[in-house]
Amino acid sequence: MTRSEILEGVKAVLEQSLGAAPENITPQASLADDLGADSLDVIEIVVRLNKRFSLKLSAKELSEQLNDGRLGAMATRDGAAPAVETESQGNGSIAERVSRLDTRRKTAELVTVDFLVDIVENYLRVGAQQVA
Amino acid sequence: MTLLLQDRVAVITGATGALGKATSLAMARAGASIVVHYNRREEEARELIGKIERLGGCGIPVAADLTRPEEADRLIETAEKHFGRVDILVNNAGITRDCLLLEMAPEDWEAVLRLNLGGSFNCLRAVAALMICQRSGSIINVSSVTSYSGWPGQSNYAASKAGVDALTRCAATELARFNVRVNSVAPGILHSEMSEQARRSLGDRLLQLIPVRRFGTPEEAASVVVFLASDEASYITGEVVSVKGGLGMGLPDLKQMYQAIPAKM
Repeated sequence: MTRSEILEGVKAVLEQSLGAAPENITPQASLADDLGADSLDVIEIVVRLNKRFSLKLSAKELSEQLNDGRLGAMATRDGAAPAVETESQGNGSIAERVSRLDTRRKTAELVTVDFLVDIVENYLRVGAQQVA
Repeated sequence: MTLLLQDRVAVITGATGALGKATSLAMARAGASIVVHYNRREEEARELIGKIERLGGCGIPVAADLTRPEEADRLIETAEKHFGRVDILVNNAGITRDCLLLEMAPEDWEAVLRLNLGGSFNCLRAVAALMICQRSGSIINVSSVTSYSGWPGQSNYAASKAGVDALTRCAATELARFNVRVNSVAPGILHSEMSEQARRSLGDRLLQLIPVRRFGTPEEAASVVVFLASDEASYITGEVVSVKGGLGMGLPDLKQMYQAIPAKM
């Protein structure tokens, strides 16, 4: 599946879930700020992405990936890629874990359309086990 | 005439029990296709499918241990693969391990909580993902009057059902936006295997607690489940609906009571 095909699929999911107008679903659009998504919407979006692309992604995983930057070139709104975590997950300090929780709460704000495409593309390329 | 649950797909857990069977047949009569879940009683599940088919309905059996989330997921996935959608989930699977509090082994506590509450959660979570995308669905959790009234020997069972009712209310608030309703049905004492011992040992004295002076039939509870599953109940969510013949309204001797009330003549 090509990246543009994935983008089309992601756009269709966002149209269905958020009732967003196609012209507003740009690669840089933030799910929360630009498309009006809240945490329940993110749940629905993940469910629909899973169905459409045969993934087994969870909303929790989405926020963790957003936080720990394992995908490397993830596009957050300000373009800053989060630092890559080398330690295995769960070994971080309490402060790091708290920051992860904070980020989870902000998933809808930080996730852009491009980020969703990255996630799906990566998932399809390397398989669920390596990203999970 | 369109039937109440015409072309709906219903997953009924613990369908081989008394209320499960009655609900499966009532929903089949109302036009729904039935996913008959069972754990060990395969033969009874197949018999039930036979009855559903004789009513002109359609059903498939699925075995699953609902205390395991992955098996609950598989139950819902199988239903969706076979019928293309799931409109109704009846979380009916449940067990009792009655025992006085101080005698209750931790395993008895855990086994009841794991299936009655944990199994309901596992199935609800699995089906909610589907229903959210469908933008429609009705989930009915089978509770019990013990969830709010208490009953000796049933601290594990009553706690599990109180948990189920809390699950009902929370899920109802989260899923309302997606046109998915969640309700509990709390039966009183029905003619079922589960209440057999109490009915046998206490008999008439138990009936004195019930103003209608009889035990309920599984069919009488099933008809409420069918109603809540249908569009007739479209404005009901997050409720616990009791089906108990007035149990708990405490009328030990009606004759004496009415004799004590002066008649106006």
